[in-house]
Parts: sequence; structure tokens; C-alpha cells
Amino acid sequence: MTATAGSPQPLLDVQHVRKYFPVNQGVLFRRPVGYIKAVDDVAFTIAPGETFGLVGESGCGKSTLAKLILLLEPLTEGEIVFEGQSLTRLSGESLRKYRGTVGAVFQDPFSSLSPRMRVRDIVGDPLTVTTDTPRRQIEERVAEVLDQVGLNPATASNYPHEFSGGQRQRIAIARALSAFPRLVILDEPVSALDASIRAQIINLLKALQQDLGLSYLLIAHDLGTVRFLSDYVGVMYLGQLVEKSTSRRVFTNPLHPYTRALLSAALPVRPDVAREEVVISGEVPSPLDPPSGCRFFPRCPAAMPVCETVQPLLAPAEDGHEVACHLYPTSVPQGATVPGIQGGT
Amino acid sequence: MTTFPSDAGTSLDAPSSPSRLEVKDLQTWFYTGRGVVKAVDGVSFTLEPGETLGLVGESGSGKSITCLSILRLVPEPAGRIIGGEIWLGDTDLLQLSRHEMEQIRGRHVSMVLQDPMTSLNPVFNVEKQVGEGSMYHLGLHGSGLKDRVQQLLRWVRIPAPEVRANDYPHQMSGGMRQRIVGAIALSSQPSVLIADEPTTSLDVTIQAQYLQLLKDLQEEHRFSMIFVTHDFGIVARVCDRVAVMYAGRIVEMAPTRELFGSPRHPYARALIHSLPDPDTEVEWLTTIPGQPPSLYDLPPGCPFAPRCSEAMDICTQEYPPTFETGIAESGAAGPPASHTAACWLYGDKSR
Repeated sequence: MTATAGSPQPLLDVQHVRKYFPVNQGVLFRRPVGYIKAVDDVAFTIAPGETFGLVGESGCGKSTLAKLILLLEPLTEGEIVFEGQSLTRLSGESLRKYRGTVGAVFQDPFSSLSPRMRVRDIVGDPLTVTTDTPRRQIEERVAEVLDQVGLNPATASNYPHEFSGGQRQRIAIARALSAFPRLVILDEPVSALDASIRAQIINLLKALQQDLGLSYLLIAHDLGTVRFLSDYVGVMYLGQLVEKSTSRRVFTNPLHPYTRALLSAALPVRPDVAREEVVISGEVPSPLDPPSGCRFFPRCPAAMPVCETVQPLLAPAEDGHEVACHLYPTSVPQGATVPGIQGGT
Repeated sequence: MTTFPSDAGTSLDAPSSPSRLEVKDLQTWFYTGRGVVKAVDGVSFTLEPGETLGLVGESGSGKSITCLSILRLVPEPAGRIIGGEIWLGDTDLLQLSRHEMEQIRGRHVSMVLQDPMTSLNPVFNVEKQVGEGSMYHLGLHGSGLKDRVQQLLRWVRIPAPEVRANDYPHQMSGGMRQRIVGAIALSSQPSVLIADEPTTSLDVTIQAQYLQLLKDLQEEHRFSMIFVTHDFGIVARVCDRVAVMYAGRIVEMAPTRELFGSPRHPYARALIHSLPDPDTEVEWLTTIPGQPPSLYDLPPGCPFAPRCSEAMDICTQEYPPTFETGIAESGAAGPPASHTAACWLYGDKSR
């Protein structure tokens, strides 16, 4: 197994996961006429206390991957191992316990909090559902996490509409933390917030990680946020990882042409910093009928004939920095006969 | 009373004469059950022909209402433009009748909205929607209109326009839909284009394509542009000058490089420094304490004072006027650009 994370015992181990959604046709006898390959053979690990950042455009499968880890969708193929246990084999009490050890924070704090529940019940909900903690202790725990996220515990009996966007996101974070999770999925945690609030929430997430030893799976399209929070970064395109390495390597020395375009398209914060401008043409193809060979080749500025026919493998190109691109000989699958390029080792 | 020529006979490829847009002390207030919201309260700026002005601010800072006021599209009766002047060339748009305003809107000033999914009508095909402006403002019909639509679609780089013209919005991708909206906005060759967060609903690589397209179109058709956004990265890429808004007012205005290089207003300074930068690694981000004020209940004096690290006594008593904070380096050509800030730090401190 290629352990991206330096630690020998990963907290989360995603092994060659696939998720296909059938596309049905027909009125009486509905049968699948094709599959949307939302996640197609993705593997990565997250070590305790580390953050893995996933970047990519909408429709690349980032959020589907998060749903698979949260067990909100069944896997089509592959395995997700959490603390040495395969998630597909969980049931009953162990499943209930797992749901408590994984928290989630979603993008929009206006739709992710029930307007009819008091903050106390929202934040205490994971404990009520996944444990048999008595009510008194739940209330103590709610006061404790509200304090940790910077909210006054005295506001626990208020409703979400009484809070601003930034405060609501703090409530959502408190809910994710209340059942003592080991892993928290952060799906675009700051993109719905105002600019002057974002930095507060990003700093809070980092401080909580340091204090509580949490692992994060961070999904975000703002590359500044990803660079700030992540130890490792994976770049997804059309359901597959095309590059994976430490945050620093991906941002300072991107190898895949798509990563380069993505970094260039993410606008610079400072206009005085000169940047290479790569505007790639075309749009993301349909995942229903992805291109043969490398899925990026129709838009790739460096495309070669081989890219059209042979799918490159995600393999280490330079120490630990993995990339799936024929520009790097390690990506050529074994046995593939490619004119001009030697077969892989 | 308008000084614009009758449009029916205007040549297709001659842009409407480039005009300077000047907004003076604009006030747009909303009268609601909970009180008066001063959404825009004393906004002034000029937009020179061919220039791109960025309007940046958080939600509720008044940037969109400023744009809607220019087009006189403020939702009535709750919202009303209660004061100010908006000069396009030598016409004050606020003095025009409803009918006269219809000759300006879409003809001389047009707008691209945020979400092409909602700004396009799902039940009409592209040809109908793109051609509407040319039919109304330029008096085209029949095959002339058809040709015009295809020309517009070519302008915005729609491949195979003769086929695509018959498509409906749902048959197109998000990036292509937003280009259709661009074609509609350009259909009468306006002198001012207002783009209200046009790329927020697009993916980053598509956003880069769209910004490039807008820049190219501006070069080809010489319109000036007001670009509303909350994203400083976009400002850095497309704008010549920037106005930063906070709680209904412009707090700082400067050429783009100047603003990033030496922001003057404490709000602009804090905001720029709080952005996580993909090009650098830092231990912690600089934060702005507190949250944006409620417009129902603005504090007296400067609305940023409660969050400001440099607040003085006067800041909580009196709203600062706009001060010139030193002449900026002039651009490649033209007069030296000014750099202004509405902050007492730059006023006469003996007051």
C-alpha cells in the first residue's frame, strides 16, 4: 500500500474505492443504460492528527467520497478501513459507535442547522443518537464544546436564526465535535461565510485540531484555505486522483498539468506576485462517458498520442510525490506498449 | 430631454459613444417593518470610458444595490433612491422618465448577473433571448436579427452558433450559459457593462476562461465595466481601480496595485491580510474580530469602529469624510490616480 501519510497506522485508509451511480431508462422496466463513475478507484490515507485536503472542480467526486466515508452512500467497490476496521462490516452497535467518531461540517450553516431545534439539541444530537449518555452529562458536554468553539454556553437555549453566519458555522463545528470524534469531514467549511469571518473560522479549525488531536478530511475549492490547513493534498479530476503529495510539494511544485492549471486559475491574492497564467480550454467532460486513456487529455496543453489510449497510473514520480500523467515514466502501466516511452518498472 | 441619439438606425458595429459614468452621493434606502435600512448611503465614484472599476465588499455592504440603483431597478416600493445623481455622459439617469430609462437600460448600460441558471428563461431558446435586445433597441427582425444573434454568439466564442442558437438553456453547460448572458448584455453595444459576481457560480478553470473572455470583449468593444465581487483575487486580475465598500459606503478607493500594495483603511488592510494565500505558508491567519454590523442598527460614527484596532474617540462619534491619502503613482499614461479613504486616521487629528 502506498502510505502517503508518514505514520505506520493510518486512522482512515481509503482503498481503491469506486462509486458508480446507475442511469436508468425505461418506464415500466427501468434498467441501467450506463453508469456515472463519480468515484473511480481512489486511494489515500489519513494519519491521526493530520489533514488531507481534497481539491477539484464541481462534479469531480470530492463530496461523493465524503458521503462514502460518512456511510451516507454504499460503496460500489473497494474498502474503507477506519482504525483497522472495515466500514462495510459495521452493523448494529459498532455502526452506531462509528457514526459518533466521525463528525461533519457542511458548507451552508443556514441549511445545515434545523431551524426548529435549539442550539442545545443541535449540538447534543450526535451524543443522543450514538451514545447512551444521560441528559445531564449531554448538557455539560454541550456547554463545554460551545465554549471550545468560542460561543457563550448561555446561548444554548437559543434557536439558529438568532445567530449570524459565522456563529452558525461555530454551532455546526460544535455539533461535529460533541461526540468526541477522531475524524471530522469538512466539506467547504468557509465558502458560504463573509470574507472578514473566514479567517476566524479557519484559525478556529486549526486550533481545535491541535488541542484535540483531530484528523480532518478537508474539501474546499479555495486553495488558500487548503494550503493553510492541509498536511497532504489530493487533486481530483473526474472521479480520480491525479496528484497526491504533501501540501507544500503540491503547491510549490505541481506535477500534473491539471494541477498547474488549477493553481493558475485560482487567482493570486497579491497582484504584484507574478504567476504563470495557464487558461485551459474546454469544460469538464461528462462522467457518464469519460474520455478514454487519461481523462484530462482533451483539455491538456501537454497531451501526447499515448494519453488518448492508455490510462496513466497514480505512482510516485519523485520521492513520495504521486502523479498520474504520462509525462512521468512511472505512470505508464506495466505491459503497455507505448512508442517512445519505456514500460513501467 | 435625453441627449442620446435615436437608436433605430444605429450602425451595428459602432458602439454607443463611450460615456463617462459619474455617481454622486447616491443614497438608496429600504423602508421595512423593522426600520429604515440605509443600504447605500452616500456613494460617489466615477467610471471613465474603457475603465474597469471593482466594487468589493461583504454581503450587505451595498455593492449590488449600488448597481441596481444605476439601472433604476431597486425593488420598489420598499427600496427608494432618496438622493444623489447618476450622470451617464451629460444625462442624469435619476431625472429620466420610466420610458426614457427603458432606452438606456440594456442599450447604454447593461448587466450580467450572478447565476445564469436563473437569469436565463428556461422556456425560450437562445436565439429568442439573445435577439430580444437587438430587436427592441436596434429595430432588427427576420434574417437580419438571425444574423445578428449569430454574430453575438461568435463574439462570446460559442462554437457552431447556427446550431447552438436553437438550443435551450438547459442544454448548455454553466460556462456556456454565462457566455449567453454576456451576449445578451452586449447585444446593443453598451458603453457601461455591470457585472454582478458573474463567475461565482462557475468552477475555477471556467472562471478563468470567462474573465479572459470579458477582458478580450472589453478590448474589442471598448465598454467600461463595473465588476462586483467579494473575491480579491478576481479584483487583482481584472480591475484597474477598486472601491471597497463597508455597511453601505465606500471606505477606500485606489488603483488596484496601490490597494494591495498599501491599503489605507483599517478594514481593507485587515481584509487583505486575512486572506489565506496559496503562495505562502503561515502559522496563523490574521483575523478581524467581531462581525459585520446589522444595517438596522448601525453604530454612530464609523460602522467599522467597533472592530477596528486603531479606533480613536472621534471614530465612535462622527462618520469620517473621504480623505485624499497621498497621490498614487500614475499609471502608464493619464493623470495621477487618487487614493482615498474614509477614515479619521487620514484627517486632521487635532479635531
